[in-house]
Amino acid sequence: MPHDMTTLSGSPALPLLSAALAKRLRKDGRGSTKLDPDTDLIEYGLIDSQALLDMILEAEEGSGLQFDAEGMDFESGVTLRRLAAAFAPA
Amino acid sequence: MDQYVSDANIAWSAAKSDAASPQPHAFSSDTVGELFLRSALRHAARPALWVDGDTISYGDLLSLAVRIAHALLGAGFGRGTTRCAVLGNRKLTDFAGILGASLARCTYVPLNARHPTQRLAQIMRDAEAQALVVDHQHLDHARAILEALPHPVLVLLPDSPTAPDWAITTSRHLFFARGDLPAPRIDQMPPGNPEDGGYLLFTSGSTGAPKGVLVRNRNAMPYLRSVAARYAPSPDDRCTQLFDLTFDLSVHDLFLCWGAGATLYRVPDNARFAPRDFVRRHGLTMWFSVPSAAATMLGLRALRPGDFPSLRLGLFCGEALPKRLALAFAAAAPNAVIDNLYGPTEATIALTAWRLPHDPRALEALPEVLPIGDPLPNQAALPVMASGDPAPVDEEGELCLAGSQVTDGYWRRPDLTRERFVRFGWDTEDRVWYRTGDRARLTPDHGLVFLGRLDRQVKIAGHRVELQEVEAVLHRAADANAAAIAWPLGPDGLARGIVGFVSGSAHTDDELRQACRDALPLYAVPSDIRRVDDWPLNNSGKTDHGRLRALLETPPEETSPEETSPEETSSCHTT
Repeated sequence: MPHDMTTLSGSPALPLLSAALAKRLRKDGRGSTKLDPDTDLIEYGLIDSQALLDMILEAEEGSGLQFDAEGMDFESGVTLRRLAAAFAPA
Repeated sequence: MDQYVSDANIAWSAAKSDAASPQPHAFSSDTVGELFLRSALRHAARPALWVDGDTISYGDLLSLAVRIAHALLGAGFGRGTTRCAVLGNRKLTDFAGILGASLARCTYVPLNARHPTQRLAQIMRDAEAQALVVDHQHLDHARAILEALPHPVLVLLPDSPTAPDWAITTSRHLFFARGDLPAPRIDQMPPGNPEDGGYLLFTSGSTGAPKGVLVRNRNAMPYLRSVAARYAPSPDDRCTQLFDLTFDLSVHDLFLCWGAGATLYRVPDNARFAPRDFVRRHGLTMWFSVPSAAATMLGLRALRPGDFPSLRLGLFCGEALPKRLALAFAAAAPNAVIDNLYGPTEATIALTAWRLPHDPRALEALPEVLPIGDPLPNQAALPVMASGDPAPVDEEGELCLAGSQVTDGYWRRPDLTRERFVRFGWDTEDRVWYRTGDRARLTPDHGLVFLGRLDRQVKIAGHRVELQEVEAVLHRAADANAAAIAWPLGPDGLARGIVGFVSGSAHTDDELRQACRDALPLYAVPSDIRRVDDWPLNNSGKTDHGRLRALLETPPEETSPEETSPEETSSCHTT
């Protein structure tokens, strides 16, 4: 995936993160959970730290981008959109 | 919250005059309640707790705690024999509830609001808890628990303006909302006794039900004195609070910090994944977590060299500490001393400690899983061979622990206690030794080295899980053969999750998962359920866990009819 896509309003990592989360929820038997890019994943108990790492790794592999924790304010909430925004070219 | 604190405001003139006169060291107290009281009187104006963006002074925290304490005392509780449960998720009321119970000489029983209410109700029953402190965000949980309880409970709602409407339908329980709590007075606080139960914790039990461990003040105070001497905390320290209150390592968080007059920073739930910014913003000086927390930070690239210059201490406990993690943390916190602590709940928080050396040559010679070192003062730790004799140096044995931190045994379970708390003929002091089930050996260079388990207990991110407990739940739900395996075991021996196996069950995977979620904490719920047609048995006709584990080595397509993606297949091989 070309890096210049990060300049678009939606990060290319977003669909990859959504897909990874959907897969995870299916595996947990919660496939019917509605995914919203602004849902707080931690507050709603959708993922734990291991699942978060797995999702990020999968999105990194799929996008060729790298997650940068500097670009993410975890305390304000861990959402798909915020996570995706913290992906940048390696 | 503001009103909660301000309406509890009291004059601290008496406290101030006390502070001017020489006072005994808080850590010389007989109980954790007394420790906090002494410290709070001395440091009344200083910050005790940062939680949800608010800073609470020692004086205000004491005000909240004594109101709870007087409510308990007024009901005739205390005297070292009552259990008071505290339900919540590390909110101000939960901290005040723990302190209030401790001041009133009640044993506190922490209940994690994120665990299933079925499990919490069972713990309330098993603990015979006569009081419950609940913060207003967890009233629904409290309702489910209280409706399932046969015995009457005094329910304290220190931050709720009124009792909830449903309180009248559960008439056997007595509810005290904020306005019903007695005025804060520090007189008439009963002097504590070292024999008083400090806290009662429930851990995973191999028979399928959680088992309780009562830790008395005479067990907890020696630990706190040892770590106070080892780490010399001061009122200028700012300490992390990452552990759930159901985890005994939180007792270290609270009382090491408060005994010193330091400030405790309750790390917000979201920031627990990557507390980098939080630690930097507040200039925290003392860090305490499970190694898994550092592993997550490393994975998120939120543990970089020089990230934490303010930390002077980095402590790890709760599971094996891999060398690569400790070195990454040491590089991130260049001014910190790094210690690896070890100990089960039964021997109070931690009983051995090992310090990471600075010398690069010494670092190179270390094993991949770091040593757990030597016992704290006045405690003993020895690997014991199957024969019952101490293992010679460098020989493997079951790690056995003795000393003032070793508790009296399991709560209301003399059978389990007899099995695990034993005496040895060779011990000239005739001490009671706790058999940990951990394999270890004593090395000449590093003290004790942890080698693994003798039984089927595993740690999931530091949480203790007896796989038999998961199996019992799965077996009941599936009404068929069931087993649980920790998976995958990485090179460090750390498991990431649990896989459930069942054979020939008429119930769907979703039903089985739901049954597990209803009965077990989330970390113990299998992340994957596999169906096995030909159930493997060993020679004695029991489930062959080795062969089930081997099934995980093969691609899941061969073991599960469920659709599986190629990524999941490969992860079984690469991890």
